[in-house]
Amino acid sequence: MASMASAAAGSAAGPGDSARAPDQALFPPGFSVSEIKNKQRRHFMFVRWKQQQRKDKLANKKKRKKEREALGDKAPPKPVPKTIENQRVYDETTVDPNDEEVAFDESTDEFAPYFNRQTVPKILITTSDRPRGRTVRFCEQLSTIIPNSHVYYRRGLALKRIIPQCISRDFTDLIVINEDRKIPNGLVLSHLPDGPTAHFRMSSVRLRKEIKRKGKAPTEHQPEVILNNFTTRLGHSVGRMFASLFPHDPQFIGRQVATFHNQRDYIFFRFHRYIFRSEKKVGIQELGPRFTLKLRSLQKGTFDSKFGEYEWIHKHREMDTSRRKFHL
Amino acid sequence: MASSARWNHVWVGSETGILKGVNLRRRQATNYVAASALRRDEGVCAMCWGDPSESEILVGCLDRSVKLFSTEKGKFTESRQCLGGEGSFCGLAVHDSSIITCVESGLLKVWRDAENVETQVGAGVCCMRQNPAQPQCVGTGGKENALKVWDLHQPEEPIFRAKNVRNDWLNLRVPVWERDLQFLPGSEKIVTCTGHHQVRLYDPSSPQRRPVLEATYGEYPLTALSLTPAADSVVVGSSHGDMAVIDLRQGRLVKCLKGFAGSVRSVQCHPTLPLVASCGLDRFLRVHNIEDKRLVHKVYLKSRLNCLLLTSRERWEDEEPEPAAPQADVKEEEDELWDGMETVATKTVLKRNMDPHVRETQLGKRPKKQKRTSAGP
Repeated sequence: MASMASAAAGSAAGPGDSARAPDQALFPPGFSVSEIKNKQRRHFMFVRWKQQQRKDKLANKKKRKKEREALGDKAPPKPVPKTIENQRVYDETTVDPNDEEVAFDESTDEFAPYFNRQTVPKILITTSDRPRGRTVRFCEQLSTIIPNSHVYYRRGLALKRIIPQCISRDFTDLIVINEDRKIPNGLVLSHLPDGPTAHFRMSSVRLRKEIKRKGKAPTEHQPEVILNNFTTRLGHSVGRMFASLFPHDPQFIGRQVATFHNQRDYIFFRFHRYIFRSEKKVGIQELGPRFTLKLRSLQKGTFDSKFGEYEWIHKHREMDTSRRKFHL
Repeated sequence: MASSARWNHVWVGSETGILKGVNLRRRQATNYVAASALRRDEGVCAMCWGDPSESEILVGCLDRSVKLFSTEKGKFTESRQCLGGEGSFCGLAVHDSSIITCVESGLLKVWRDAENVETQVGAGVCCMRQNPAQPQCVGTGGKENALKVWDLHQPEEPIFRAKNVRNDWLNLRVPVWERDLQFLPGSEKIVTCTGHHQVRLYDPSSPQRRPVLEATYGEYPLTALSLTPAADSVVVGSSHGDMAVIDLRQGRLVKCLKGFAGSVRSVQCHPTLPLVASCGLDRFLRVHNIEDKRLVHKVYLKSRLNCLLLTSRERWEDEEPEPAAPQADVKEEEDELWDGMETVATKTVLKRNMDPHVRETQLGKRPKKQKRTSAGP
């Protein structure tokens, strides 16, 4: 305790003399806080060290700002801070808009009938067996958002038997909300005639009553769809899957928009009503449920998890090794 | 560029009907299209070498046409319609300047100029392969369609018809689904991989018609199979993107090859070098080194890939680059540029053989981080 007090006294006296030298003497270059064996003293020295670091940083900042002002116009541009998004590892499957082969692939894939306006989307929404209240309400709200969708109770039926019946009744998509411990936690989206099946993990589900400052109930107007940041080939496929859920021609009178925003492989779904107050100012009200999706697998063909062929599977130990590599 | 087609190491057929030739030494991929317009129903479903010197490739398409591609000239030279039966091709072979085709409904046909020989091998065929030692023997197998070996000179009856294994421990019949098969060189044995994640070895010369050896791997259907150079193990690929080397003498798993994100559609090993090429639905062609499990090449080809052929040329490093053409200078410069860039150990950057406009600069490419190991018990 005595030595600590003396050290405190010594360091308290130090800044009184001059700003730099005693502090540098206090933390000589070979000095490491971790070599002090006494825990109290070590903590004390660490706190001092941190304060010193903060002071140095502030001083550097001020110096740089002064230099910048002194240079005026000739100052070099401010460096852009590094974020995970702009440090993202370049993905070679990123789609080039001018690429003919990818354009041909997309124009003839399973979604071609939708994008050529030959089919109208008709969605069947169901859940896993014996859903609880939250999931049921979520499905009802989803069906108000997605036009031409029907909710059916899953009476313990096997998906492989539901799918042929759906195809015969002209459904184009099947959504299955999986529930675990009374909350929805998974989504299987299957495009019907023979299309890909995407399996997502769903999190952060908020029903309408849990959304603050929400607007009135969504109307029957067909919403617009916004797909953000689906850049890779896999992202394109998934984006097209989402786009094919909504009818082609949005009714702008309704001023409703459904947004699928992809960031760092998480897809955020929001449903808003917008109003343009002037040329540049927009007001938005969030309606409708919101949820977050993460793609687990994309399977070619309708739902057949055992014998189907997968186009993409998320393999955690192989694909999640880099924090700056994303797949969607 | 036309003559450089013969230097391509791997030929890959895609679902959009494009035949892609990949030159791994120069790290380029070129597309070869039969007609000027692409058509989806010309997707490639089967490929085989036209002749032993590998100068011609037979490409079987979804609309039941077989096209002949010449690697010397670098373009498609002939096409013929091979109609009959339903479904797409599941096997193509060449014997004595006649084409052998097999479609999914079970029609096995030998197309000769004079008269065609055909047999029915049973419905639901998944694969048909020719015995390289005896070109008149072919094997077929499929879903609920046991392995049969046919001699094309006597096409009425198969010379070997496999029997299903005994009922399992619940006394239920074990389902049959042969997805891919290969003949072992030097003997009459046949290796198959099934959709019920089994690898089976049959021996026609032994008195038992049941499989001699059965090994299981994984929980997902095995979709592709290939023999390693020393014919004591096989490389199998599954629909979940797992590829493994399985020893045939003991029936155990030797090693796994990693890196796939999608179903593996086709696997082929090089006859002498320890390399295996594989392609699949995730639109990548990968070449692994079997001995140290390393990924040697990874190529992004923009369409889903159905089948591939690997040249049996050796000594890829000694191949001379193309004689000087103005394009070649630009390519070599860019090659040097690419070589000068920091290469990540497992991945090679591949550029397209189109006008070399500038690729997007790679933002802050970092060296690959080590795998995070779980900390603590």
